[in-house]
Amino acid sequence: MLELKNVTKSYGWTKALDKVDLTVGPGEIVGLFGENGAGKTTLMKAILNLVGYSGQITLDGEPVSRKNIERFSFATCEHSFFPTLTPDGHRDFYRNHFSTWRDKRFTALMDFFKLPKLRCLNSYSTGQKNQFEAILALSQGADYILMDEPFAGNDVFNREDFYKVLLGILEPDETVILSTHLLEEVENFVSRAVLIKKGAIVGDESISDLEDRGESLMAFVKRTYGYQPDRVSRALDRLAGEESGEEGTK
Amino acid sequence: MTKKRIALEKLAPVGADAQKQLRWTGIALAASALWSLRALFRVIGEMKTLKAILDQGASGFVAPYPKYLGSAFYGFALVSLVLAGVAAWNYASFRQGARTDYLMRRLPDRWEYHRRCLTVPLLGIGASLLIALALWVLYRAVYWHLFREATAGVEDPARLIIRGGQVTWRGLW
Repeated sequence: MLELKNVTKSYGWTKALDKVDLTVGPGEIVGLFGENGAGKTTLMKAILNLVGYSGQITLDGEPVSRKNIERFSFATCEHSFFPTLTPDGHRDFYRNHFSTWRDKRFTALMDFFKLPKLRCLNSYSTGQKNQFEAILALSQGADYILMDEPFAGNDVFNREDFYKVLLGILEPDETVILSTHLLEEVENFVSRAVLIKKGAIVGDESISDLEDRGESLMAFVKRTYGYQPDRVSRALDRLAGEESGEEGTK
Repeated sequence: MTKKRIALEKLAPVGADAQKQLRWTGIALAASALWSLRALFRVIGEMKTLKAILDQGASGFVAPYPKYLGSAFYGFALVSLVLAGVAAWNYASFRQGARTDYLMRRLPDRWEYHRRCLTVPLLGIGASLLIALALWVLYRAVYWHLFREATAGVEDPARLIIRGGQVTWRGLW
């Protein structure tokens, strides 16, 4: 069980995380949603100890440290692989450092996505790089797989494939925390939606509860975020009014 | 041979050539050692002159040992500075093209990241200090040996070393 209690992180005067309380159990697939700068990436980095924070983050009651860090993997849109290494080089590196490395899964995913094994990562396309980043995170053998916008730049078919593959290969106790803006795409993939706004958790619902209420994930996010559907039309009307006013004065 | 190469690979950022870094460090240290020979040649030259003057029965003086060093050991300082830069570059290399530092910082082995960034620079700086110290001691030994040889038979030869002065016997002609 991953538990965050009162986690706060500030960059200067800006609060990136504001007293975040969150519990994620084994086997959950959590969608982490929020606008740009809401704190999704910072939340993941705090879990991985990549940024300092105040509060408590524990995994099965133990603080996250070198002792249990192996139980987390991380796929980021910034990419955390070695650009000048081949996939086989990565396999060797991960195998040496992570005792839980899943070689069969790595090979299977590399084959499925037809990624070139003999080329260095810096010669991959953006989509291939994203795929490889996600493959590493899935093959590390972690219990908690954190994915931060892993498919930014991938085409829709590719993303669709990935969700299907993920659902197919994940074992019951593997947990995924997925940060993305692609709400409609992941609605059938995630089991729970956590909304973050200005560093604070503003919504946390299971997808089954949403379904019971007959509310879509998109509707839930818009409602929780206080999205005003007529915002654009009002702005356009105002703009049109100003332009016609200017013409009138001419 | 293979084992040695694998071990070296683990002492530099992934994809970087530790052997190359070590080779260039060795070349830079050798060049620094050659540059430092200036001090030795100066000492030998001055002592020869002192001996010649004293042999003629005239008064001669020499400067204390540190005055002969001048910039002789600057090469080692420069190498150490460059190696500090290499360490910084090694760390920066994990942010070039990707944020591999995220991976390195979450490895179960907490030293892996620092080992790959710091080993070669620290080895080089350590070697630089050791070689500089060894050469400093060697040149000083040469200085004393030649001084004793040049002042053999002179009563209280220590008075021939000008303390704090700009050196030399030249002004005394």
